[in-house]
Amino acid sequence: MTRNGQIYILLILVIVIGLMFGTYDRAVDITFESPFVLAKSIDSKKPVKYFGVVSRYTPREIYEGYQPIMDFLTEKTPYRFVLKLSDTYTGTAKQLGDGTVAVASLGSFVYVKYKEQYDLEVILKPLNQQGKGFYHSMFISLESSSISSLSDLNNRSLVFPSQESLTGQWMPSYLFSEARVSLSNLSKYDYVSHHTTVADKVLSGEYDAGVVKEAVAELYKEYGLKVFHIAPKRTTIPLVVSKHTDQKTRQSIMDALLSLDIQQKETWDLLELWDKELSYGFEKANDNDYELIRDIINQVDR
Amino acid sequence: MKSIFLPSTLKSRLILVFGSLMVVVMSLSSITVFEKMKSLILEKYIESAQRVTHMGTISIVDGMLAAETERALPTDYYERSLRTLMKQSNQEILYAYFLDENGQSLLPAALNHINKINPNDFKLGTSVSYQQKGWVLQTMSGVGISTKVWGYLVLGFDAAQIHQEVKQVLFLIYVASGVVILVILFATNIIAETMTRRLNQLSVAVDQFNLYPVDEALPEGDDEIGRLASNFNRLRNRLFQSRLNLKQSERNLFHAEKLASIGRLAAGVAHEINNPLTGIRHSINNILEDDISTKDHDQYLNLIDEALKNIENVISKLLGFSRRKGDSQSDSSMNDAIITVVKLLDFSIQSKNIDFKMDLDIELPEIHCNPHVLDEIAMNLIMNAIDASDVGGKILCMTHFEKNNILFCVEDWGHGISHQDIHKIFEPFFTTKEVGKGTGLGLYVTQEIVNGLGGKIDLSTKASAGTKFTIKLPANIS
Repeated sequence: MTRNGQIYILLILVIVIGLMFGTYDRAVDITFESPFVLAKSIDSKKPVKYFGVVSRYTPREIYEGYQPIMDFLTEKTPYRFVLKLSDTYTGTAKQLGDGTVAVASLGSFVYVKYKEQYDLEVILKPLNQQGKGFYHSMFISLESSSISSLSDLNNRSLVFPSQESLTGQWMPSYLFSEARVSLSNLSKYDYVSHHTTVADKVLSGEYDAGVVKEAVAELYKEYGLKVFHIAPKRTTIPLVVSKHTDQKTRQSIMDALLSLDIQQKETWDLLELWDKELSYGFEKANDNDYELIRDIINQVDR
Repeated sequence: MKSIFLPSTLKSRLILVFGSLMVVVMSLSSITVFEKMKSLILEKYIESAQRVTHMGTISIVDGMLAAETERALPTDYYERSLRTLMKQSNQEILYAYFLDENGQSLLPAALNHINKINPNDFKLGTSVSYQQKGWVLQTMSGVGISTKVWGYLVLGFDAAQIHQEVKQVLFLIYVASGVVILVILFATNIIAETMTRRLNQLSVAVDQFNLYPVDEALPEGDDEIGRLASNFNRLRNRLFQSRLNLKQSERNLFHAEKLASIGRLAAGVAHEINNPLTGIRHSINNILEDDISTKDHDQYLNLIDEALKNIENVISKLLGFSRRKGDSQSDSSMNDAIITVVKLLDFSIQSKNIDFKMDLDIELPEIHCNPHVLDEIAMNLIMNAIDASDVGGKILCMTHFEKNNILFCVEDWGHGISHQDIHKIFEPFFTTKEVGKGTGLGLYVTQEIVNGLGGKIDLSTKASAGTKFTIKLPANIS
């Protein structure tokens, strides 16, 4: 190698080493910052209205299914809607009665039971997938189970949702009237707090069969449950206000929810996030819609 | 223009330019790779920390939900949840906060005691920063369900391992880049040396062109330098061939000039031959007569013999001059050449009644050359002097040894050379003589011979006053 070549190679190496040392501190600096940005601004200036939901599902499931509805109502009305949970079905009826919540999604049974006591008024009812205001209670079992009819439930274990729900109230008598299977004919039966808990108990094998509302049965089909009996249709769960709810509030709620057009792609995308029982739109409801349920309760009481 | 920043040699330039270019490319590549790897390392740790943070939010959400449904929770529920999270995390958790969007704590201040450090310059969000004694990775996750958010869980993780990993990667990239750059520089040096060595060979070959025999060709090749060497070899062969042709042409030219000289000599020589021939014819006629005595017969025969000898002598001199001699060299005398030529030109000198004087240095050393070329020099200069002289003119022919040089002067007092012709007289085919008397090659050939012997030719002339040619040749002293 010539002397000139050596000098230039050395010069380049010196520059390279200088660059390495010069950039070392900056290179090993791992400072990183992604500042917090509030995902969605809450319009704190709007007056708060509480929205009650009976404990038909676990609190987490209620938030998952109903919080998007709160966001929608907050956007479409002059109020900020906030969920208010209760540990029981009756608790939500009480919250309506004492004005803690402006509106609530009650169970049909609870509405009928406490209508007079708390001066409740039904304003809306949700539609099913066919656009009708009805739903079914469904008997479910494991897909692998040999149970295929109500009569197969003799000496089997059965789990019901809360006794404060229509399903929990009505299905034991319905079972007897349809298949002459009384609770005493069952090897075991029980009531649990939530419909989804019923499905979980059957899925885990703790009970041979269970009764849940239609939306839950459809939801759990993909996890290995089958529907082996469908009870007669009944009016869907009511959206209820009380005497404490002012007209403007109830009207704004009705306007917002009745404005939903599920034929629109945007609406469909929005409702996708909502609780399945409320994701096909609403129609106006009145107390007469729940007359049949009132009859059932009377029968049960007898 | 020579730049102070650019090295003078092609090799150094190649190393500097190519090496620098490669260093820049390598540096940019290394920086890109390092930044990408650093980013991947950070992403890996941030993702892992975010998973832990998200896990932490689950128990807080449960606590929030329990509070909403007015279910009773153990008093140390949150502390136990956070302690469990700290134990289960692979990365050491240095601090944990549950804050609202304004950065206000949503948990009792008493929980702060579980934190190992309290960060300075606390900001909401995900970050990696140097805190107090080391690097801290902070992550933040919303505590909520769906769009419901109760607050934000902020966890600070020890990020010393991230820093260590980044340093290791940087070290590896430095080493790898250093090795690659070194290899590139040395490879560049080798390539540059290979290229420039062949160029240098070519340069030396061009510089020493005359010293190289034709058969020592430069190594050729398919690349540009190889093709250049190949073209150079062909050029050299063509030049050699041209030189050979030129030499041959020069020989032919010299020979032609000599033949021309002989032709001009022949006119004078013919008279020398004609006289004996007349004597021979007269003697033969007398011998053929009947009444010739034996004594006269013998005398006539002797006269014929003498005349034939004279003719033979003249022809011998003529043949000796015109005969083509080889290229062999020997020690030759300038004086001998002058005497030979003067003998040949004797008739021309006599016919013009020229006062021809010779002043030859008898100590004159010999010249190592082909003797024939000295004859050529003497013949051309003396013939020109005779041609330039009028009847009764004067010519002085002189040799002299001075300072290791042989001087040969031919001076005449004839017509001289006009001023406008002085610069042309050494050009081939230039002549001021009548048509048929000169070829215009004499002085050109003389000058070529003198130059070939390493000498020089000087001229002093004056129109109508005469001309003096002085030839200076290096002597063969050894």
